[in-house]
Amino acid sequence: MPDRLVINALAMLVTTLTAAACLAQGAGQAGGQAANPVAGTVSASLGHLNDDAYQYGNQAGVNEQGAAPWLALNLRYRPAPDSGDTAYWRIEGERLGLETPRFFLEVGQQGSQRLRVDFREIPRYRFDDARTPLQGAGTAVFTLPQNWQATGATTAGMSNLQESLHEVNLWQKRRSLELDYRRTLGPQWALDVDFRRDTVQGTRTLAGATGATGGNVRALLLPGPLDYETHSAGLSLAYLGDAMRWTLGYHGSFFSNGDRSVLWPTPFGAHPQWGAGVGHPDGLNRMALEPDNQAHQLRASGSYTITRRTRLYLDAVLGRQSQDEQFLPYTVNSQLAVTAALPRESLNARVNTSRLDLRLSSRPLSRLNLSTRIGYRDRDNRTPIAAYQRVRGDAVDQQAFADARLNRPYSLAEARASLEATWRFSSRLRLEAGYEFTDTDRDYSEVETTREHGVRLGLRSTQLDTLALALSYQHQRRRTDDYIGNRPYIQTHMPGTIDAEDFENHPLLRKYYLSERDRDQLRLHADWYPLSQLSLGAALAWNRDDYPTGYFGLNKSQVLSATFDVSYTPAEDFSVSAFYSRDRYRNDQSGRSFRGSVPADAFNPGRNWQVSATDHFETVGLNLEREQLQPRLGDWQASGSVDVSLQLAHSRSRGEIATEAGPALTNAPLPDLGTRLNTATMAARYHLSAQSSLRFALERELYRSSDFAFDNVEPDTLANVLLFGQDSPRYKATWVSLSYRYQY
Amino acid sequence: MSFRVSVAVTFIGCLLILAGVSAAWAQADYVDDDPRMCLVCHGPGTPLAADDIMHGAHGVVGNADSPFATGQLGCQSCHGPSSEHLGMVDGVRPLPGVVFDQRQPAAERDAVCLSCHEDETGHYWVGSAHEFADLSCTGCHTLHPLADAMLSFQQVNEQCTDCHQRQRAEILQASSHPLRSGQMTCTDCHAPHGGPGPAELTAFTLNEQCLDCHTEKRGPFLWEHAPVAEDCSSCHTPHGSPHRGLMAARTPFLCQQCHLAAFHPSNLESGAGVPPQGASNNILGRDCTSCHTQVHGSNHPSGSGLTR
Repeated sequence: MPDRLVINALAMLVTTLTAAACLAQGAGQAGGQAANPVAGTVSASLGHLNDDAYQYGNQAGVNEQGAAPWLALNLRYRPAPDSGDTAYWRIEGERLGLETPRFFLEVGQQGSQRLRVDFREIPRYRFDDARTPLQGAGTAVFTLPQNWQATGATTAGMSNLQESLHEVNLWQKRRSLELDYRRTLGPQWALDVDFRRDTVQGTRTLAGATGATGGNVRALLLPGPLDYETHSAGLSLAYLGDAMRWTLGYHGSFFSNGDRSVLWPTPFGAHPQWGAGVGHPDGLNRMALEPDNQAHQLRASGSYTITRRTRLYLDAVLGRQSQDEQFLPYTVNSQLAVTAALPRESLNARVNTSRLDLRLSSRPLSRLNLSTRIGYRDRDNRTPIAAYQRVRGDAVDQQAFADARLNRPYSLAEARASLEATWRFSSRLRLEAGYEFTDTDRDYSEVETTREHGVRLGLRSTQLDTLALALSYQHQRRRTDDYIGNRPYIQTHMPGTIDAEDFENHPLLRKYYLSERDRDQLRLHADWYPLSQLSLGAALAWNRDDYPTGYFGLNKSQVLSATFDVSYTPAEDFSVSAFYSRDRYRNDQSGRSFRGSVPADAFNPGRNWQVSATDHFETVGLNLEREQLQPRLGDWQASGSVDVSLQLAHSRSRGEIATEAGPALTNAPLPDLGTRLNTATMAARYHLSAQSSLRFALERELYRSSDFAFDNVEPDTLANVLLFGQDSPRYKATWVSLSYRYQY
Repeated sequence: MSFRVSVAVTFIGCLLILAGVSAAWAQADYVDDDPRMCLVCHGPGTPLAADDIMHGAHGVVGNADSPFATGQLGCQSCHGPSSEHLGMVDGVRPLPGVVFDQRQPAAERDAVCLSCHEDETGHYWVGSAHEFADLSCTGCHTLHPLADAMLSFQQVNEQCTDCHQRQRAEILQASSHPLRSGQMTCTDCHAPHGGPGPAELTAFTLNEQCLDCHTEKRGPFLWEHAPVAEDCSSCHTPHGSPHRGLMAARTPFLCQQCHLAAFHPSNLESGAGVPPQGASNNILGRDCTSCHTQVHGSNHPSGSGLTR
């Protein structure tokens, strides 16, 4: 990859020049002058990975068997204390040369100006064993092999599928470069300018569907292109007075997508309900990718000291998000009948956002702290509404006007108010209490208004010298106006075409984010210091959400979390710490399976079902560090000292999904889901001298997962969806590295 | 209307209640020959050496605001009047005017730091989660050593997860943001000195925070998915999940918490749809998103079902 070489070369050049500069500076000052104002480390490393381990690269920056060199540096320059100079710089670089480099530079004059540069690459390696017959992975136009045969509308009719499959990698890489300049314009004024460029490139999973209804839809997974670029910039001016401070700023963000759409051939034979020429070999499909968009914000914030202990804060933001990319045609299949033109050439979408927050913070009594807030935010979607006569799934002729769909530009307005208070009984004991209220209005929604009240009570104590305790309880109650389940359904159809009793979702469904809800949270945190070198901690959290009974959807969710940690530091050069964490998330939901063609189903309790999904997480970690060991073997003793460290982490999850069904439904137990990560790193650093050292590290990481959605599922396991057929990720990686570090 | 009236009344009431009380600073004596006198005990090689601070940002005398610049008070710029610290009282050495550990109330410690750094820590510190929890500046920052872990992208996550242990466990989950390796840091999203958004986010709303990086999902789209426009956390969890894409729960069940229409959206998806018992489109592969791939929104005129 050419840009990889360029980046690595630049990284190494910067590191080399920096190290040379430091050495020169150090040499110049070695002759009895002041201490070297450059401090920090530069290291060069060589590592070896024992086997290909695709997903291991997400963290390590290397995933192919073999050797890889990299550099790291952490240097800072400060002028000599008595020089009068204020110039400084700081550089931090890690994994320079691998796939996950990060580089940070700050340079400036203290008290007057500074520039920060932050560059990083973040890869995401998902699968390297996906299989597809499509040619053109990662591009916007796919083709099938010339000899592709599809004699029916299922994967069984793809007679030469197996010989056409080839592996594709699914991955992405984000590159981010950020520049931030700040200048002090005077004793009370400051200017800040920042710029950021993000790119995301790779090959991602998309799904391409052909067809108009649940019954005749066919789909295949596509290795789609990923080519995003975002530029953002900000400018702000701050006034930092004694009593009043304010900042005015602008922030803009501009997203562009290198691909406007994805085009793919239909790999299935014609379905009898599709239009003529839609199946293989003539059928084509086209999907719109994310359109270019912009976002702008004007920001104002300020604070005013009313009295010595009372301060008023203000935040005000006005923003606009917009998008006006030209529409694709209703269909790419010219053989389908399209009589009505698009209602518009492009959407001209526009969302105005606003936010206003006022906060008053005060300490009216020496024992009392108060903080009160009121806030308002608004997402006002001004996107024009029109009727779109769809060509559904590039598979049937265009809909009649009466069947057209109206887009729903969702808007939302939220008002908040809260009051928090802390009462100090003593410097070691305090009581906390709070109240908050939220009122949310929505449109095109089942519920127009929700109101939520919340109260919180907490206690913090350090009454005992060796014990710190924190306990809190919170209760929130959300109530709504009438839930009208078919309101969005009616509003997206042409007026008069849907009866008031018609519905899409079952009338008994209550969407959890719009439903009435009672939420209870309890938290306990304790830290115990039985010895000055020893600390033990425990944290417990319990959260429960209850939704109204007698309805479908999410009925109850509960989270239980416990964490324990211990830290032992018997000496400055010896420390051990460990932690154990266990979490349980449980969701109980229900529904009723019904068929549109059998109206009685919707009212048949025998078709009810319940699902209880529980995720168990368990994590254990250990960290041991011992420095300044003096290796000795018989009469021999090493001239240098050795630092050793050991890090162990084990994380696993188990997902249990229990299903229950009424007598009219078929039910069978689902296999458990599972993930397991074990990682161990042992390292030893031998100090050759006060400045230089060698570090040997051995890292062993094992990951495996089991997922019934992937395991033993071939590309043609499903009749109507052509899958990638990849397995759940699993790998074993052994990474050995040797580093030389020079310390300034 | 009643809500607005009650808010206004509450706000005005608080303004009246909280009107000013002030206290005078106690006067005390300063050591004249600071830092020379301090370095007698805290100089290089001493058990309580603190001289490194003079080689860091605080030691840059060219900056008139530095504690060691001409006209400033040296060590006592932060530690306060400490002449009593030079002597012994009943065989015990009194502490300096201000000490930066548990022996001094957090607010008093922080007041020292904020007297110079308020413009950087800013606007949101007072009333922030850390301020409210009495976590002082020195609870995270180290001043005397040359390197402060909070300024290192390699170390800042360790600093945060030292207290936020549940998040330390979550980032080890199968699906997480790249926090383990330091490619992302907690401070990419959260402002430890307080932020304008919930959970001290640096953006004003949760969605703005997510969309700062995931700009492609910003739209506005022709066919929006209502919870996407409102709150990303309706479906996603930020720190770690065993489910792909940081989903808060397993699909298709997560989708079925809001979608219960005729035929496949309302089907019971069970082991009957998993080999060898069967093969259901709705639970194998990418389940719902095997067709509804544009779940964050579609801009295709025929894409109202989020398949285009």
